[in-house]
Amino acid sequence: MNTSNYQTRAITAIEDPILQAALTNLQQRLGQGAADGYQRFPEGPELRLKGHDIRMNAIDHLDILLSALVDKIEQNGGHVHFAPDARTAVDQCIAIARRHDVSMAVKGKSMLTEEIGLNPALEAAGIETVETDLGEYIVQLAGETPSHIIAPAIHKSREAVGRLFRDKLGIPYTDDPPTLTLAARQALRKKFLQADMGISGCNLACAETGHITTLSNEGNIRMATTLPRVHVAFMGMERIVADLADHDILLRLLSMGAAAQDMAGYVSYIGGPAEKGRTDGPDAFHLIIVDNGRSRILADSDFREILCCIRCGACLNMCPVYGKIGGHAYASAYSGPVGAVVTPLLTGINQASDLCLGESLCGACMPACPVNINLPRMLLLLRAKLAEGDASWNVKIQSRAEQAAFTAWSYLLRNRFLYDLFLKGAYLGQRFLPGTHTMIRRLPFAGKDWTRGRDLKRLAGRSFIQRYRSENQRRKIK
Amino acid sequence: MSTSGRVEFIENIRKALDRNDSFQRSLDDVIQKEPDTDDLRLLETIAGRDTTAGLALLDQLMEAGKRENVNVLTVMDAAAAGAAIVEIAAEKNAEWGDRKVVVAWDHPLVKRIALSTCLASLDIPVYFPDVDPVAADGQATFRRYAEEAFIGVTSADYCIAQTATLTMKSRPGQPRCASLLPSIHIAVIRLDQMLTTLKELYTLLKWNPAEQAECITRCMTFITGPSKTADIEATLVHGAHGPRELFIIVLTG
Repeated sequence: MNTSNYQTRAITAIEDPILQAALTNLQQRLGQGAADGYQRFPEGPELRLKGHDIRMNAIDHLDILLSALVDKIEQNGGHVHFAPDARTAVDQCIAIARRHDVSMAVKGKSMLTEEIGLNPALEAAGIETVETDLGEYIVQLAGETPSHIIAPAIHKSREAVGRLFRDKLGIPYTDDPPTLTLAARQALRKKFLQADMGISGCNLACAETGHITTLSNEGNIRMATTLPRVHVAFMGMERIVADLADHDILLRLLSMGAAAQDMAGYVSYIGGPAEKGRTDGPDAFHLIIVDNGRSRILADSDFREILCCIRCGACLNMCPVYGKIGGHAYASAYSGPVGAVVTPLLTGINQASDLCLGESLCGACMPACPVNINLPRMLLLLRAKLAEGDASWNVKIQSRAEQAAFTAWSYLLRNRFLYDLFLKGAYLGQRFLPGTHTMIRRLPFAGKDWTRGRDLKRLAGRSFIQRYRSENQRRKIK
Repeated sequence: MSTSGRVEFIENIRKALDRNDSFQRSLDDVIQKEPDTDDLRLLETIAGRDTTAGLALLDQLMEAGKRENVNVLTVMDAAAAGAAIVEIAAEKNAEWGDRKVVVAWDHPLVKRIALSTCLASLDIPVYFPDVDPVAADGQATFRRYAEEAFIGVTSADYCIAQTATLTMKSRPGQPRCASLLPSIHIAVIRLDQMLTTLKELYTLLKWNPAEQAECITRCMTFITGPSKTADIEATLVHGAHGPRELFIIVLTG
């Protein structure tokens, strides 16, 4: 993963008219749809706050909840694996595949598997890995990466999908979505029926009953977790709540946030392999619980709240920055406001600094979030760490020059004499800057970018305070 | 135990949560263990529902069905349900093979319809799974028919009127693939299997003694509408991977 070149990728996205139309459509439909949907909950929009409390309570008791889940799944004949990092998680999956003699795996959409780089590792191990969510399938065929948590192929036009399917599936060109969907349905059905292993994520486990849950609209996850002999589920360690009463609230919030639906098309509670002697269902069930930087976030009370996230993508559908630059600019499995917080925390705040610096702090993401996560607070905090450095997160000061400039500026602001002197100097100096007699067209040095798209009003000869004082003086004399 | 890395993994979380050794709470301290007055009232409401209340829920289901693209049919008795299924089977085409094949659950309500007899007039064979214990070749045989089938007939545990959601636990004789592999899924339910909201369902699952005794089983599925996708230019298309059409037949008699 490479989160550098954020600017270049953002500019490319902004200049792509097809992407811009797609993003606008997505945000108008899903963003507005979820906002309206929150108002329609029988409990009212306050259900989001309740959801936040449930998630926070679960995170505060994560050790207890995970232990209960693991005990139950093992009692039911499932195997649970613990992966402190991405490499271990991937290796565990490959080992399971080898043990069960797997040559082909079908996958449900899982951002966690994107995060840990599962697909390339499985392919390198000689295991054919087929994405089965239609959007993910399109992205995989095109050799690209998903650009939205819920709508992975939002960046592709129907014409682009038509050309892709013509080239890769050998069907006649069409740009008709139902015909294209049917082509994928037929191609993927063969894969589902042949696959030895199904791979899924986990939307939200239930500690009390010992189940993971998967949600989908296409039915691909049900296929992948019902038909093959082996089911491997990947779960971020924070994706759990205590009991079924919590699920009642959170699955509704998740469905509304993700797709403006009252309930997702398919919800499956899976608590182990199929009971012995049943007609169908997998013989083996493996759950891989992944940390990969999450316990470090958990340990920091300032950022613990981000672990409440249920990865619905609702914040992407409201964010004015995501709405312009799209998902690929973030170069991470997690894009949009949540990506701008979680990616730096998982991969390094300095390395992914562009992501949190790029967000506008407008605050639209917080009311969009079905569990009311205070993303703006954490974005600001990340920026503070970049400005001042933080040894506990290994953050180096992003820009010494910027820090020096602001130190000087704050010194200047606290010293009347120096400040007036500075204004005088700037007033005299500005006549060398191009523009009209009221506006400056271009600032030099660091100010260059600021005036790229706008002009700056010229400094007045006398400051406000100087005019105020002399005005007062004049009135007294009168 | 530590071969799986469990001890270290959980210990790492405990450290992050700043737990000390004296912190010894268990799941029982975190979850609600007794139903509260709201839960009890809801359980009472559900248990006290009569036919009139059921018919009111049916109206809600019809409304939700329109939104979710579910065809809701109401029939008086099993014979009428059979006739409705024959009508669907005659009209629809096979998708995955040359001939029309139906698979169905081994479930009392489905059995009452006598599907094999009904569909014999159309020369459509109906296949049922073996009931527990299923031999390995029995599994493979049913799976083969399910792959070929254009209609899968099941029942459900409950049907949520407000969202048109069917719920089903995994049980002997009730394969998961019967509601998944065929092109058309038909679920037959009785009026008294209707619930109003998901909240009612979760309250039953959590507090109803029979539900508690059975647990959630290894796989519980909620189905709301036919399989759908909007992954190409946000255009809604039905029949992504699962059934492209869903019928709920409610027996009111």
